[in-house]
Amino acid sequence: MKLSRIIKFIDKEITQYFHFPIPEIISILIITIFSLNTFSLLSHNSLNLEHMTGGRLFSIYASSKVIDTNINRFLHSLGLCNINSFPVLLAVVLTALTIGEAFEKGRAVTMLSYPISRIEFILNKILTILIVLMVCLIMPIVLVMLSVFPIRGVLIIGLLGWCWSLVMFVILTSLMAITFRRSLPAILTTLFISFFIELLSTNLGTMHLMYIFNPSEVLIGYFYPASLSGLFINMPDIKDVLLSIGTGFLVLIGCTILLVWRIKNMDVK
Amino acid sequence: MSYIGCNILKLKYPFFNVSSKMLVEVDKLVKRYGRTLAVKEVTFSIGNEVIGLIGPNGAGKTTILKILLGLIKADEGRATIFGRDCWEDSLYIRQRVGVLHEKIYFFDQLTVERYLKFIASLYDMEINELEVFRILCELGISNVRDRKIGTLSAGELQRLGLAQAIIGRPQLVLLDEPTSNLDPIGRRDFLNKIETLHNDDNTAFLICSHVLHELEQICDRFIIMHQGRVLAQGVPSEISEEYGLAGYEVVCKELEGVKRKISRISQIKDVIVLSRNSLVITFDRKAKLEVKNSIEEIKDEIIEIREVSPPVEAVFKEVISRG
Repeated sequence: MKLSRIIKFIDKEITQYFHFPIPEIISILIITIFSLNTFSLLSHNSLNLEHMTGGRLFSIYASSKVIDTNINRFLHSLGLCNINSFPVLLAVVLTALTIGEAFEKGRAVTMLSYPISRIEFILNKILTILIVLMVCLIMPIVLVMLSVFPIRGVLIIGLLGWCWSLVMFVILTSLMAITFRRSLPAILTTLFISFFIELLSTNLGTMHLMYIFNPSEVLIGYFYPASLSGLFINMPDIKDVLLSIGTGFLVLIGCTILLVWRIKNMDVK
Repeated sequence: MSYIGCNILKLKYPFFNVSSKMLVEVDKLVKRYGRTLAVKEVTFSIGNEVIGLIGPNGAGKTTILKILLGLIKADEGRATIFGRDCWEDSLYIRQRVGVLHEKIYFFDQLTVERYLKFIASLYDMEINELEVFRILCELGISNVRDRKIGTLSAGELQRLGLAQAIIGRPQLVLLDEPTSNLDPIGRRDFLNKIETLHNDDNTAFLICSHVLHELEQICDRFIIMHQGRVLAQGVPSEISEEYGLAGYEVVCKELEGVKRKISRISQIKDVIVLSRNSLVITFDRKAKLEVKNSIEEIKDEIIEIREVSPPVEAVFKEVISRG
């Protein structure tokens, strides 16, 4: 009995009964790494990845105000940041697995052989993902947050930012999924793009780039300068606010146009 | 397409340009996948008939089907169905064309009845339980009506595939390896159904398959493809005429011995067994006399010999071998 043969057999079994175990496992790893980024709240040397996932507002609130000891601050902010960034990361994974899998398993070929337009096909998938995310994740979190968060206005803008982030990530991941027609490259490329934008904005000092994926934070800083978040975000100039929202909006529109163009012109094999 | 066929088509689809007389027209179609030329200047047309699109693996058959459905864009040339461009008007075409892919994706969690109703709704049709039952009866799977698709056997799935392809009452049906998962009885029923649909409902079929002797029973014409090119098209007798092929059907007492001896005749190109005591041999028309003389030498073992048109399998092998 050879171990290599057994391993091969196990691999076949897993592939047969659990679809895409490798992308799923890697996705979980990526989510874990992103979540562990909350360590930045203590060490102050992160790449600020939590910005993109809207994590800063709630985690800073929790880590600085509520808890005093270092280890408790870490654990608490880790938990809060997980809640906060999980929907966004899940959006990426869910979109990539749903759309990537459609092309990998010939689902798209079958469905697009019926009288369904390509736009209907992709829109149906995107809306399904968004509805699942909104109903299963956002609504419960909204209800919990509304009951505990002290400043409702900040919370509402923050939640709008979440929704913005979700739509942005779903559109971007869809674009990547139909480009690569595979789940894993779609996940990795989306995260790389968001990471790259973050890095670019940090290095170039262009604040508006940083908030492409969640412009609500800059809005919070503008409308609530004296609020809790205002203590941590310097009050931005109105030009920065408009530039942030404008850039985010343009990126979203651009990605949507690219997605529509791509789905209309691609070969469905 | 016959005159009557044109009139029926005109009644069913008033938009259809009867003057073109062809449902499908493919003109100098070219498709590349990177550096690989999958389809090379393919030209053919299909009227209201049953056509067999045959060729070895990688011949470009499935690519042609996908181009016709608007799933893949041709790099050069033009493909039209009902006079409409397959890429530009693919939605219009898919509303009127049924498809059974080689690998079809089903919604495993739906019951057969719900699935067929769902597919009908995509064609803007509403069908009731009785209609579903009638279709399933015709395809011999009425017993699975309430079962989840995930629990069906490969043969049942194949029949369900044909059901979904014809449920929109299409004028043209494209089938890719339709009998691959069926047992011999299932294959016969499947082919009978295709024949019935063609004769009764005037439905045209374009069938890609490797099972050539089955296609021979139902196809009006064949298009033979190899390495992305159309090598020959027409009825098998026309193609064999063009390629100078002739054939004899030999009825014998003991098949194996005769087959072995006949195979040794140098002019014989192919020997195809038809039944327990008969086979068909094909050879170059010019060598007819030599073949006959050679067979004369084993006449004691032969009951009967008659000249026949070479079967499509032999024609196919000859066409492919000449490339």
